[in-house]
Amino acid sequence: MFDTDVFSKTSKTRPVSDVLHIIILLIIIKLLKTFGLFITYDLLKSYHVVLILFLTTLFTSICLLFIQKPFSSFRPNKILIYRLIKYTICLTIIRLLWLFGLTLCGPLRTILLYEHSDIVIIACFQALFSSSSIGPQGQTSRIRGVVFFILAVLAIFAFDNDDSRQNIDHPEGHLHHRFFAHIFYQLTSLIGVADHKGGVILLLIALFFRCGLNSWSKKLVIDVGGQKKFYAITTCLSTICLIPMSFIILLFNNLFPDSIDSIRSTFQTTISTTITSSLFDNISSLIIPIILITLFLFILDFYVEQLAIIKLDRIRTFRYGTLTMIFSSFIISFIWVKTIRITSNNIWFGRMMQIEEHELSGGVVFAVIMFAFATDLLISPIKQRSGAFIGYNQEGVPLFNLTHQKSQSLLLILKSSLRDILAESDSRRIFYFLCINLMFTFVELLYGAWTNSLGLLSDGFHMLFDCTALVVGLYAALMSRWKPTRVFSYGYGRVEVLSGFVNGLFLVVVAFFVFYEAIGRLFEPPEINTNRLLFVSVAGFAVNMIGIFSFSHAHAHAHGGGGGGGSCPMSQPTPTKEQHHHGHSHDHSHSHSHGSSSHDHEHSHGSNEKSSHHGHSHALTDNANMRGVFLHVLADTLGSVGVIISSLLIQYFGWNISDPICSLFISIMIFLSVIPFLKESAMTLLLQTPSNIQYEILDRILKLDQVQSYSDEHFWNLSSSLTVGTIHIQIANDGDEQRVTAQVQTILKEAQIQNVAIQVEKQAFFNHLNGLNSALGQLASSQRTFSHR
Amino acid sequence: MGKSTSVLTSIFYLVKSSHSRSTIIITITTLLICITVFTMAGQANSMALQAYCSLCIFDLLFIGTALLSAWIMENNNTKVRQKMQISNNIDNNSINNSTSLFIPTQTITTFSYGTARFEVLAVFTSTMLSILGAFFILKESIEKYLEDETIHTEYLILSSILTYIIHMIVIYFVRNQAFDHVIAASSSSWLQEHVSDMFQSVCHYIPGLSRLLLPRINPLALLCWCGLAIVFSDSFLLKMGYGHFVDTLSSLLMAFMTFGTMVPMAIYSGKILLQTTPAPMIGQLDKCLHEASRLDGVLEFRHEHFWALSFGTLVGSLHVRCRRDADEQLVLAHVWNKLANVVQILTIHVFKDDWLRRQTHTFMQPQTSNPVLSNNPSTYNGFVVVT
Repeated sequence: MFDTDVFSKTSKTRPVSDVLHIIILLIIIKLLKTFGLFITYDLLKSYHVVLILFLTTLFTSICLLFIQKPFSSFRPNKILIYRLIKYTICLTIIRLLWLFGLTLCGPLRTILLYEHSDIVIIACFQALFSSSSIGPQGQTSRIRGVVFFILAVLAIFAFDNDDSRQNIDHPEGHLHHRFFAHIFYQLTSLIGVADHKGGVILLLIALFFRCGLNSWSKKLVIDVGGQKKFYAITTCLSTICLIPMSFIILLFNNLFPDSIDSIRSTFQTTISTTITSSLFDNISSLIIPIILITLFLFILDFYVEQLAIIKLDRIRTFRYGTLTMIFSSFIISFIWVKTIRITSNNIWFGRMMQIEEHELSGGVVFAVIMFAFATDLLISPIKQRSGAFIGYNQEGVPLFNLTHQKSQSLLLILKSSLRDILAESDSRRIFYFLCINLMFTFVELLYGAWTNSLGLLSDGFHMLFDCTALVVGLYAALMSRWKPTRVFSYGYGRVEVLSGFVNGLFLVVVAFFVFYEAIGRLFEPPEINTNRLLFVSVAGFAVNMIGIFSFSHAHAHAHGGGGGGGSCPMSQPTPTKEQHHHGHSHDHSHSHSHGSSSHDHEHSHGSNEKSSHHGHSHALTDNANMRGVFLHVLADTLGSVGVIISSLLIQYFGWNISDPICSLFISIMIFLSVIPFLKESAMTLLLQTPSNIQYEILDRILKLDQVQSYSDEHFWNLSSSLTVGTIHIQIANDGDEQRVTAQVQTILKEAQIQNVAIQVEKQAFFNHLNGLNSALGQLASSQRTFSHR
Repeated sequence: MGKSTSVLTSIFYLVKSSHSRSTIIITITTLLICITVFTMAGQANSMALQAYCSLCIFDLLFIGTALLSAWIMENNNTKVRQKMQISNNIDNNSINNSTSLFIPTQTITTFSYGTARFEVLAVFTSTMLSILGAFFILKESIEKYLEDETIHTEYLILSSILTYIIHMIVIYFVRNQAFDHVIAASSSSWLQEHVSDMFQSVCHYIPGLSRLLLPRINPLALLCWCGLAIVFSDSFLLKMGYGHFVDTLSSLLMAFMTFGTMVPMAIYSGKILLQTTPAPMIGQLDKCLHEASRLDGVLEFRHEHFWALSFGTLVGSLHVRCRRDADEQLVLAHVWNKLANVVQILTIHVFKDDWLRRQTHTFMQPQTSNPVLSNNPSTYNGFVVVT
C-alpha cells in the first residue's frame, strides 16, 4: 500500500522552540523557491522549456557532483541502472510537464496546484477510495479536506477569470514552443477547454504522476543508498537525457529561426532598440537567472527539506513548506503584477511586456484559502488506528486484528447479483425493463448530444430519473429474498411494501412538480418546438408500453384473470383521446381493488371458509413492490401520451396552452391513481389487522374447551403473502396448555396465519407474577377475565 | 364515514383547544408564505432558490406530523382515562361504554397496536418526500443548466429570508414530539458531523465558545442556515456575473445537503416500519434472554422477534421450549418476569416436545423447589378457582 507508516512516525514530535531555527530556515527557503518560480516564469516567456530545464539540470548536476560525489562509492549493477534510467525518464517528463504548465498557468496557479506534498495526495486518495481503513472520527476531517481540495481545483479550473489573456495570445502566442504548443493546442481544442484550463489539467497530471513515482521509487532510493545520493545521480542522468532533446530544439531553432526571431523582432519593434542581442546581455539575462533558479529550486530546497525531515518530521515539514509557498506566492504575485504594471511604462531589460498577465481573481483567492484548509486537514495525522481486539496470546500480550474486511472483486459481486436477479420472475422482469429503458435513454442522450438538441437531452435526463424508481424496485425485490437476521427477525419481506410505498411517494412528488410547472406555464405558455418531440414521445410511449405489457402480464397472472384492468390499456396502443386514457387509468386502479374484492366475494359465498382464505392469499400475491413499479410505468406512459396529444395540438392548431393543460390533467391523474395504492401499503406498514381475519375465528377459539377468554390479539400482514399473529388466551385452571395451544394453532393455520405465538395463561400465572413482584401493567386486560369471574 | 367524521371532530377539537391555536396560526402563515415564495422562485427562475424554498413544503409536513402526534397523545390519554374508569367501575360491575371522542371503536380493532405507529409513518413520509423532492430538484437543475435561461436575482434575497424565518419559527415553536425523538435518536447527518468537527477545532483555539458550539445542533436548523448561506453567496456570485454554473452548483449542493439531513431520519423511521430490533436495544435484550435461558425448565428459545412498534415501544414474541416435566405457568411467569421490563408488549409461547405422550409417563412433581415459591406458599395455595 501507500506509505501509511508516515503517520506512525508522528509520535515523537519535538517542541517548537528546539527546532525554531530549522523552521525559519525552511520558510526562508520556501520563499526563495517561490521567488525562483516567478523568475522561471519570466524566463520561460522568452526561452524554450526544454532549454531552460536542460540548463538548470546541468548546473544542478555540476553542483551536486561537487557536493555529493555520488559516483565515488556507487557500485551499479545492470538491473539497478535500468531502474534508474526508467525513473529518470519519468522524472524528466514530469518536470517538462510542470514547466509547460507553468508557462500556461503562471507561477501562482502552478504553485497552488503542484506544490503539494505526496502525503496530501495520498490522503486524498485514501479518503476517497478506501473508506474502511480509517476510523470514523478521522474520516470526517479527511473527507472535508478532500472536498476543500476538489473545490479549490474547481475554483481554479472554472471560476478563474483568466480568459482575457486567452483572446490575445491564444492562437500562437508562445511561438518559441512551437511544436509542443501546437500539439497541445490541438489537444485542448479537442477536449474543448481553454488554454489556461489545459495547463491546470497538465499540472494535476504531473502532480499525480509525481506522487505515484515517488511511492514507486522508495525501494530504489534504498537500493541506491540514500536520498541525497539518489537525487544527485538522477539529476545527472536527467541532464544526459535532456542533451539530445535540447540539441534537437536548438537545431530546430537554427533551421527554422522564425520562432525565436519573430519574438526578437516583436521585441525590437515593440520595445526600444536599446535591447540588443549581444552575447553579454544574453548571458546576463539568461545565465544569472538560471543560476538563481538552480540554487533556489533544485539545490537549496532539496537540502533544506531533507534536513527538515530529519530534524522536524515529515508532516510538519510539509505543512509549513506548503503553507508558506501558497501564501508567499499569493503575496508575491500580488506585488509582481503591480511591478509589471509599473515597469511596463519604463522598459526593463529583456522581458516581454505583456500587460495582460495572469491576474488575481476571486476564484484564485478562494482557491488559496481552500488549499490552505485542505493541506491543514489532510496532512494532520489520524489519531489512532483501530484494530479489533481479539484476545491475548500465550505470553499474555494483547492481540489485535488489523486486517480489514475482505473486499470481493467487483466482477464477482456483479456476477452473483445478476444471478440473484435472474432467479425470480419479478426481479427478472424489472431488470429487463430497466435494461430497455436505460438503452433507450442512452440512445436518446447520445442522439441529443450529437444533434445538440436540448429537448432530447432533458428528456433523456427525465428518463434517467424515472429509472431510479425501477432501481429501487429491483433492489427491494432482491432484498426481500435475503435471509432473516438478528435485527430483521421477520426477514426482509417488508422491504417490498416499504419500497412500494416509497415509489408511491415518488409519484406524488412527480405529480406535484408537474402540477407546479403546469400552473406556471398556464399563465405564460412558452413557445414549443415540436419537430422532434413527437418522434421521441412516440418512442418513449412504445418503450413504456413494453413495460406495461410485461408488468400487467404479471398482474393478470396473479389474479388468475380476475382483474382485467391491466390488460385493458394495452389492447388499444394508440389512444386518440386523452379522456379515453384517463378512463383507462382509473379503470385500472379501481378494477384492481374491485377485482380482488369480487374475487373474495365469489369464493366466500360459494364455498367454506378454507377456500375463501385460499382465495385471499392468491389475491395478495401480487406484491406492493411490483404494483408500485407498475404504477410508475403507467404514469410515464400517461406522460408520453400527454406529450403526444399536446404536440399534435400545437402542431396542427397552434394551441400552445394545450401543453400545460395536458400536464395538469396528467398530474391529477397520476395523483388519483396513486392514492389508493399508497393508502393500502401505508395500512400494511401501520400493521392494520387484515380484513380477512374474521371474528368467527376468534369465536371459534372462544368456543374451544376450557378457553375462557382471549386478549391482546394482534394480526398483521408482514408482507403481501405472509400474515403474522400473536394472541393471549386465558384458560381454566385444569385445562391442558399444550392441547389448547395446538387447537388454537390449527385454527389459525386454517386462517392462513403462518407465524403464530400463543401465550396460554391460567390464574396460576398471575399468582406467580404477583409472587415475583412483576409489573402487571400490560396484562391488565387479560387479568380482568380472572378477577371478574 | 364514521371514521372520517371522528377525525374531523378531532381536528375540530385541536382547533378549539388553546394550546394548538398558535400552531394553527403558524400553519396558515406557512401556507401563505409557501405560496408566495414558490411564486417568487418561479419568477426568479433560479433552481437554488427553488431548492431552498422546498424547505417550506417540508415545514408543512413537519406541522402535519406535529398535529398527528398531538392527536395520538390525546388518544392515549383518553385511553388511559377509559381504563382508569373501567378499573374504578369494576366493583359496580357496570362497564363504562361511553363513546370516546377520539377513538372510534373501529380504530381499536383495525389497528390492534393502537395509533402510535402513525407518527412513525408520518415522519418517514415527510422525510422521504423531501428526499425525493431534493432528487427531483437535482434532475431539474441539470435540465435548467442545459436550457440556459436568465436568472432574476432580485427575488433571491427576499424569498430566502422569508423561507428562513418561517422555517426557524416552525422548527422552534411547533412542538413536535415525533421529530424531536427522531432527531435525538437517529445517527447524525454528514452535515452535522462536519460542522461539529469544525466547531470542535474552533473550540480548540477559542475555548470560550464551547458552550455555544459544542452541543449537538438541530439538523433542520443547520440545513436552514447552510441553505441561507448558499443562496446568499449564489446571489452574490450571480450579481458578480458568473453564469448559470453557480446556480446549478448551489442547487446541487442544497439538494445534497437535504439528502444528508433527511436520510438518517428516514433510515431510522424506515427501520421501525420494517419491524426491526433497534440497535441500542440489542445488548439489553441479549442480556435478558441470556438470563431467561438459564431458568429452570427452559430448554431453548426459538423465533425470537423483537421489534419497535413506535418511538420507544418494543414489541416481542418468543417461543420457549421447556422440559417435559416443567410447570408451564411457572416457566411462563419467570420468562415473562425477565423480559417484561424491556419489552412492553410481550407474547410468550411455551411449548413442549411430545406433549401427547405425557399422559403415559407418571406425572412428576418438580423436585427443585423455587426459592420464591418456598417463601410465598400463598401463591400456590391461595388460588381460588372461579368459574
